[in-house]
Amino acid sequence: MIRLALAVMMTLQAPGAKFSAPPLTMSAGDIERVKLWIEAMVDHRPGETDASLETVRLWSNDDLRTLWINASVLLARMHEEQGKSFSFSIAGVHIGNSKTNVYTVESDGKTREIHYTADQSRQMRSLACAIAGNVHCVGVPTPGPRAAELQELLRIADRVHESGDQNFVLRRGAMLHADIATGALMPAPATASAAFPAPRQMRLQMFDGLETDRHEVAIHWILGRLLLDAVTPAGKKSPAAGADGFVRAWYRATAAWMQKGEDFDTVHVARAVTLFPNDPDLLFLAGCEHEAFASPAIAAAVAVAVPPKDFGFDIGSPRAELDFAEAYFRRALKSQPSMMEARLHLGHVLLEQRRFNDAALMLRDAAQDDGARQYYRWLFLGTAEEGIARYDAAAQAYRRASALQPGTQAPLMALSELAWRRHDIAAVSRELQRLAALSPDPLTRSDPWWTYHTSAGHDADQLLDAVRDRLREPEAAR
Amino acid sequence: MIGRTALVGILGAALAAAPQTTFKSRVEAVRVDALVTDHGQPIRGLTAADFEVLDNGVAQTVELVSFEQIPLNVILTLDMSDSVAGDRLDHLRDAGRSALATLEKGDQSALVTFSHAVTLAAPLSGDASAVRDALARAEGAGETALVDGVFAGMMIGESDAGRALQIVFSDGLDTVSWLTPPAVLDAAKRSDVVVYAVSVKTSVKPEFLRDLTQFSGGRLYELEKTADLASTFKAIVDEFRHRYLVSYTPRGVAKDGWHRLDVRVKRSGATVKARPGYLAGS
Repeated sequence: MIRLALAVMMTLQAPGAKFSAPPLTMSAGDIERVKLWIEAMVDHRPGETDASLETVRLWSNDDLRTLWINASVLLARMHEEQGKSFSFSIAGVHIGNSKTNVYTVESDGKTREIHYTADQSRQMRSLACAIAGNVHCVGVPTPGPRAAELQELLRIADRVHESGDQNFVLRRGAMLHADIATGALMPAPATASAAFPAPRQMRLQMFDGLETDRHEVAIHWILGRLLLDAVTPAGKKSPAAGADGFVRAWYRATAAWMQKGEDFDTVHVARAVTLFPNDPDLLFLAGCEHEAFASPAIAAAVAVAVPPKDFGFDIGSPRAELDFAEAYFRRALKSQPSMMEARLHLGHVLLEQRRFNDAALMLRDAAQDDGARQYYRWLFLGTAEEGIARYDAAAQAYRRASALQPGTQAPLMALSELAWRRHDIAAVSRELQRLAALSPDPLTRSDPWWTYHTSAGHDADQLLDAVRDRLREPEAAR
Repeated sequence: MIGRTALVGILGAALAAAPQTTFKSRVEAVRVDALVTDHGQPIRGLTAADFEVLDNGVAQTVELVSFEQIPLNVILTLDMSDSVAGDRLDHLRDAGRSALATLEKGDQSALVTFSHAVTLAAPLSGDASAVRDALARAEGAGETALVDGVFAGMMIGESDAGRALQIVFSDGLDTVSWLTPPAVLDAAKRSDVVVYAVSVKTSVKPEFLRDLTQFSGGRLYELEKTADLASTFKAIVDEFRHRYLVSYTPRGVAKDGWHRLDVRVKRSGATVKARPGYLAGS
C-alpha cells in the first residue's frame, strides 16, 4: 500500500470580520433548516448513507455555519428548558447568554447580536424542548399552520423521552456529522463568507511533500464537537462532556479515523485531550498526530504553504512537533504503562531526536502483537542499536524485520547501509541484490514503513462501528 | 579508501543476473577526484609532482595522478515520483540519453530510479542500450525516497573499481526514505563516488543534495526549468572526465575518524575542487 494523499486542516485563528455590523437576523428558511437538522439527527441510521445524511451533506458551508449559530442558541435553550444554563465557546466564536429574543456572538472582544423574531423564538423554544425530550413544553398542535411541525416535534420529544437519554439527539447528531465527515461523498463546498460570525476550516491537501489543493471544508467536525460539548452525563446536572463514555469513544474513533486517513484536524484532537486529559488512547493518538506532523511528508508541505488570511495550521517545526509527541506518549504511558504501541511510537520519536540510547531502551521492551507493528519495532530497534554502535544487535534486528516482511525495501536499505558502515562489502552487495530482486514496478511494491503514520489508526473502522452500536443500546449501557 | 580491503564487481554482475561473483583485494590507498581549472577551464598535463595533498594537515606523497584515460562508471539516479510526469519526464529521458551519448569505450553505466520504491533498473555494464531501454520504460508514480535512492546508486558506484560518477536528479524533497540524510552523508564520506546533483528550484533549499555534493566533491545544479536538463547532464559528464584522479597511501595520520583533505596544485591561478575529506573506520 502506498499513500494517496494526506491533508491538514487549517483553522480560523481570528475572525476575519470585526463584528460591528448590524444585528444578524434569521430567515424562515434558517429556522426550518434547524428543524430539518433535528429530524435528520434523530432519524439517521448510524453508518448508513440514508436520506437524513444526504439532506445534511448537501447543505452549503454557509448553511452549516448559520446552523452552527442557531445550534448554539438551541443548545443553550435546551438546557434552559431543563433548568440549566451554560454558554459555548468554540473555534473562536462565543455564544453568550440569552435575553428574550436576542443572543450575542462574541469573539476577539467584538460582539454581534443575533435577533430572532418573537415567532422564531417560539419555534426555537419548541425545537429546544423537542431535543430535550420535554413533551410538555413543545407546544400543543392545535389546527393551524404549525400543527404538522409541532406534531413532528412531539414525535421527536417522545422518542428522546423513551430513550431515557437526555443526550439522545446530541449523540446521534455527533454520529451523523461524523458519518458525513468520514464518508467518501463529502462535498467540498464553496468558500464561506468571511464576514459571517461562525467558524470556518480549510483543508490543505498534499502529496509527496507538496501542496496539491486547498479548499474550504464543511464544518461537520465542528458541529459534532459542538453537540457533544453539550452532553450531560447520567448523574450530572450540567454539561460535562469529559465525564461521558460515549463522548470519549466518539473522540477516540474519530481521531483514529483521522490518523488512518492522514486527514488531520488539530483542533479535534486538542479538544479530545482537553476533555480527557488522562485517557491513554487519546493521549496516544495526540502523540501520533504530532509525530506525523514532524514527518517530511507534512513538514515539507507546511513549511512552504502560506495559509489564507486569518487561518493557521497549529503545526510547529519538526523539532517542536517531536517534543509534543514525546510529551503525549509519555503521558499515555504514565496512564497506561503497558501500552506497547505507545512505547513503539515513543521509540521512533526518540530515534528522530537522535537519542539512540533512550530509543534502544524503550524499544527493547516494546513487544508488539501485530505483524506490521512488530516489523516497525525491529526496524526502529535496529536503528537505535546502530546509533549506539551495537552493530551485531542492529543487524539482527533488521534481519528480523526483513523476515517478517520479506518483500520490503526498508530493511534491505538498513542492512546495506549498516554493512557499508562496517566495511562489509559482500554484505552490501548481498542486500542490494535482494533489493534488485524486488518488483521493478513501484505500484506493486509494498512496505508498511511507507504508511507508518497511518498505522495508529488501524482500528478506526472497528471503533467507529462500536460507537454506532452504542447508539442502539439503552442509556444504562452508555 | 582507508581500511577497505575489497572491491567487488559483484553488484553490477548480480543485477545482470548471472556472472560469477569476484572480489579483488585493494591497497589501502585513498583516491581523490580533483577538478583543476584556471578561469573555469580545465588544466591539462599535470603530474603527481604538481599536486600537494594534506591529510589532516600532514603532507602526503602523491603516488598516482591520472587524467582522462580512466574509464568512467556513470550511475544515473533519477527521481521517478509522481511529480515527474509529462514534459518533465521527457526532459529527464532526454537528459539521460544525452549523458549516455557522451560515454566512451570502456565506460560503464547503470540506472537507479526512485519513487517511494527504489528500483535498480539497469545494472552497471558497458551496454548503454540497457540503460536507454530502462529509461524509456520508467514512469513517474508515487512519493520520493531520494535518500534511499542516492544510497543505492552510490553503492552501485562502489561495486566496481572504476571511477564512479553518480548523477542524481530530483525535483522534490524526500518524503518516505528509510535511511536518513545523516546516515547517507556518512556513507558518502566513506565513498569514492563523486555525486553531481540536479534539482529544480523551489522555495525549499535542497539541503541534502547540497551537503551530499559538497562531501563527495561534486556539484549541485539548481535549474529553473527541466528543459535545460540534457545540456546539464552532458556538461556534468564532460566536467567529470576532465578531473584528475589523485591517489596516495596515508602516512602519519590516525587510521580512523574524519580526515580533512586539502588538495592543492603548485601552479598560480589553479583552482582545485575536491572532496573536503573522508571518513575512515566505522
